[in-house]
Amino acid sequence: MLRESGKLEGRDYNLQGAIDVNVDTGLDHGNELVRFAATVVADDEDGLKQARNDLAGAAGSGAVVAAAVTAANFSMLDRIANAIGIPLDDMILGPSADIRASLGINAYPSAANSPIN
Amino acid sequence: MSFYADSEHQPSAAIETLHADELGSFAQCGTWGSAQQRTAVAALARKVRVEAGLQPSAGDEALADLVELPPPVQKLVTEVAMGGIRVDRDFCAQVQSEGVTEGAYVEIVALVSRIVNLDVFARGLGVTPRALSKPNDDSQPSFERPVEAVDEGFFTASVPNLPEGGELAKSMYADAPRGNIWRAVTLVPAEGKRVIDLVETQYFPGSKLMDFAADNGHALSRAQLEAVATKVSEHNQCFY
Repeated sequence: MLRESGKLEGRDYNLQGAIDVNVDTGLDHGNELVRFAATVVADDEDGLKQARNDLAGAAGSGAVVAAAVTAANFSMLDRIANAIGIPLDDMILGPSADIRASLGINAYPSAANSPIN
Repeated sequence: MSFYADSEHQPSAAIETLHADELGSFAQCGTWGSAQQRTAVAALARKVRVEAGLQPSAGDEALADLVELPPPVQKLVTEVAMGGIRVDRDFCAQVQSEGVTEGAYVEIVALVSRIVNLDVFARGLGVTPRALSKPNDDSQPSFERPVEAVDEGFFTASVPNLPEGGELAKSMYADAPRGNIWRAVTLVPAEGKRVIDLVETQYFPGSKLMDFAADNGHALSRAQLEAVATKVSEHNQCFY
């Protein structure tokens, strides 16, 4: 999804940056967004407070709301996907093969629910 | 007073209205669980996450003891509250062999996932989770399994896309085929509809999901939203 969004914007974002906070995605406020996402789901209250303040300062209060609701939405969907064992849809499985390999996603336990081999 | 009036960061009225309704849903009777059981499930999920340091207390963890949840239910709630990372087909089968029906399994997964949705959002805004209400519904679960539900290769049955899914599918998916995540918890249609409503309001409507130029009123670009989603899904080790 991130790669496809970038294509539409004519940008080639570094997907590794969405996983590793020390890598630049190339997105506007990318570091603030990824640090916020990393801390809102972790047991790091001080880190979250700092990340929220940094994101609000860099991109505004609306960005905090949008990032929070996206983190919440995927916290819900990830749990459903993992616990119901849904496979990745066919239309995404093929086109995402290189990204999954490079980001280590194929090693997740829930990869067993999709025909990746 | 608005639902998140105490937050420095104000969400849209649509999100506030939806989240207020979501919070109330745990205190209502479901398809497979009573209002008391559903409240206890949501409260237990919170208790697990508070004890893991993943969120502040809303002061309502005692509601987890409203009814005695059977051990396999407690095990399922705990696993899903923590991300569902260790859940596999064997785990699902084991929980069911210990007495949790397939419908109850799906309803519990949806309940836990929906309360986590509310709580991660509150944490993101920097406010305390909104406290659960005490159950206010004495009606009994219907235990109704949709006749349209079939095995689509998931751990549990679901309502397929049209035409196989019939009128029920049309009511949930409109006329277009929907991805697996859309159909995942539709063995319990009431929960399926709630999850779809949340995704359509919080993220993008099904019809715009693959339209990367679509605007759903977010203050961030689609690419920025996807970066947040990617990091969260990495944390939850979600292949999907």
